[in-house]
Amino acid sequence: MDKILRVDVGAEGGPAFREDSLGPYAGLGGRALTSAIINAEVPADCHPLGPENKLVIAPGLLSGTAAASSGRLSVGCKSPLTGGIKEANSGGAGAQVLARLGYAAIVLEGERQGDDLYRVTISTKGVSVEKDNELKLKTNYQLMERFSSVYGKTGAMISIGTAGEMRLANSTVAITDVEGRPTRHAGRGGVGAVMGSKGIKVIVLDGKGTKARQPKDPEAFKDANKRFSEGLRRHPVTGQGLPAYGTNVLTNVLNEAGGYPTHNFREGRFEDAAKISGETQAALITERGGETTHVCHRGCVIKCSGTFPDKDGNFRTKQPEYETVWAHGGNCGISDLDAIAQLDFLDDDYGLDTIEMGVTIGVAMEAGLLPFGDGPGAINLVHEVGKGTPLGRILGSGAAVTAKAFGMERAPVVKGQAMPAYDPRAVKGIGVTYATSPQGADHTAGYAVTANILKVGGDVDPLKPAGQAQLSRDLQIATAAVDSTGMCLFIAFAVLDQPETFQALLDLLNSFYGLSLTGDDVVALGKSVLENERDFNRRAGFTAKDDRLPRYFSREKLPPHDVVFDVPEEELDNVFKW
Amino acid sequence: MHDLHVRCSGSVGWALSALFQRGVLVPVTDGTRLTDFLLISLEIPRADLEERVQTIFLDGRPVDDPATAVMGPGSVVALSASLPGLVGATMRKGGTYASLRSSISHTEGAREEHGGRSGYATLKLFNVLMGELGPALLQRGVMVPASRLLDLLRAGNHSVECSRAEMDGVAVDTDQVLGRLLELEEQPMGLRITTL
Repeated sequence: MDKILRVDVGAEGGPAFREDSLGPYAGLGGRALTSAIINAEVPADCHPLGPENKLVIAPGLLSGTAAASSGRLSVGCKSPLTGGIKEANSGGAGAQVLARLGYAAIVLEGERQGDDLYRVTISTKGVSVEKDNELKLKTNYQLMERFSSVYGKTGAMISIGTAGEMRLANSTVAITDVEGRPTRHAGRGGVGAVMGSKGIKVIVLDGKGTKARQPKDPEAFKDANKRFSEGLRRHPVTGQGLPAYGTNVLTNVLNEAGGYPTHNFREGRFEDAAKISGETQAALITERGGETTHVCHRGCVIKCSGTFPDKDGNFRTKQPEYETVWAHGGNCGISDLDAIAQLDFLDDDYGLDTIEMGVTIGVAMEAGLLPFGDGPGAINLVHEVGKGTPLGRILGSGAAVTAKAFGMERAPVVKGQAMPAYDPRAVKGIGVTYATSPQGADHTAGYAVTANILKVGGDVDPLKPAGQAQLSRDLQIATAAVDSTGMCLFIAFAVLDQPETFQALLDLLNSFYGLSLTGDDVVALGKSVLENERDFNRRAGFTAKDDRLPRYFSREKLPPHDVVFDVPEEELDNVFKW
Repeated sequence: MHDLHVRCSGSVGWALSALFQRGVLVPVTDGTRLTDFLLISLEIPRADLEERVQTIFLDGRPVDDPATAVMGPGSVVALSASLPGLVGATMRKGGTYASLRSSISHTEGAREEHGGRSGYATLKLFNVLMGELGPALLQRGVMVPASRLLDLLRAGNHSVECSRAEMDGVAVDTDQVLGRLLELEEQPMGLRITTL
């Protein structure tokens, strides 16, 4: 993983590629690398779909190694959805294969010439970039049919569906899973549109002949990986809850807490939550012969994924995650798991972010385009987006644009990006992260619950209401660091509760690279990532006024607890003062 | 009050999700401490309460110290094991991130007391706690609205595992049970599910 593949789509005679050394980016991976390249090489005031923007695809520092749960891939650019810097993160097989092929990153850059589409193929034999206009308006599953024999069981495909090709602000970059299906997505912020703007439809990674990356100290690495894996298996979240129910295990609890955004964030409880909960979903999947415990990439010991069969037992989609079930379910008043599964499949096929799409449909429902609870109507809307009808192009531009088109104030977005599945009025601490993250409203930006282990800002008293900003800052720092390792964020639970598992993670990095990192170094890494991202956004024109929730969250009370978001603006402005 | 006793040859897993996600009724006296309800009424072992039950809601509010929380008829108690995500960690009792949800946390003081009045509290069990605590509760007996029981039995998942049922001490077949439940509508009734 000592080189960067740069594909210049504006080269004379068609796209050309070259391989660069890491240069100033040595020692970086994942989000740290994508954000460093974007901040250094992309003019912050450029148009996201213009020739100056770049798309960076980077595996994490430990991807491609034997380290458990290390297969996350970062995709970075200037976001067409937010106008700021973006790092969208995905599981799937892509990170492992790309790392084993030796690449720290792929950078798509330059000005597309004409309307031709191209495919990039990378193998141990080399790189090719070929024109392939037969791919026009193919969906991700159609691309799978075409290329699965090439990437096979040892490779992966990175692609855009029709949404990315149409350069819609809600469009993803899809990454295939271990079965070769395009079920994993760098979903947030419209990264697919940037890939589409470069005219690259698909990147096929042929994994044949690749081997796991080798650590500098194999014995120490093996020992650390054993301790790390045992820590993940031993923890009740990563060892039991997630494997049994997937992330949708959160539905009942958020609903009970009154923090489950329902009917476009009008209420905090959905009366039919039990019909779409992780417990119900797992029972249905089991009854139909699907899998509730499944990996999204090889080497994951958490196995939070699954397969969702239709009524006849045939594969319908991967087990929808909590945010997907919420966005298309409770947020839209839909309580039919089969309808939600169909929406999940269509999102994957067309290449749409499930959170942005579900929130957009919720906005459309409130606007009166269709009633809340209308599953077939929601499915039709996603087809409109995927096929690029005039209405579909509005919806495919995200929740903020849709609200504007229908003359509505109530767009639950920050920096133009839809809020995820936790109402910030009930859980105000996460509202601080929604407001201040350089990424826009993003629950994963402050997800790595490791702050007290890292002691970024000293110990925090859990029962005192003060300190929301400090906690959010610590969490964002820790998350940025984890996002750079290639580790799944779900490792954070075991790391939080088991200091020895955090030490095992440090030992993995140290034994692989021959380093002697401490917790302080991890904090420094996380801070540097956020500083890069904040610097880019500042130069792109973002100010403190952009670090706010929509004003109606401070005005409209959320039932059942009748709470509003009332974290003082001064506290929000202090999040990044370290 | 009517009672239904179902005897099963195998797992009672078919009943857990349908009953405990929406909640069963458990007798309670006004002014009962939440810890007493959990340890004495529900007979949850103290070690399980401390280690396995990581998140407790009382009337939709996360509880940090069940020893200081007081409940009574009409209260809703929900229990969960460890949960993923920052918000999952936020909901834990007395957890590191409890301050992130301080505006909805349970606090004592606003509750009206009714001088020892008896009635029913609703108990919900989520995720792995259904399987860990639910079978023992069903063995001892809980209360559920007849309509909920009707939905459960109509789903038919019980038929493989359960072959014998008694209503008010008299052996009945499935059709008889369904007919009787239909008449009772929303009335609460006793339910015991035991394994042979």
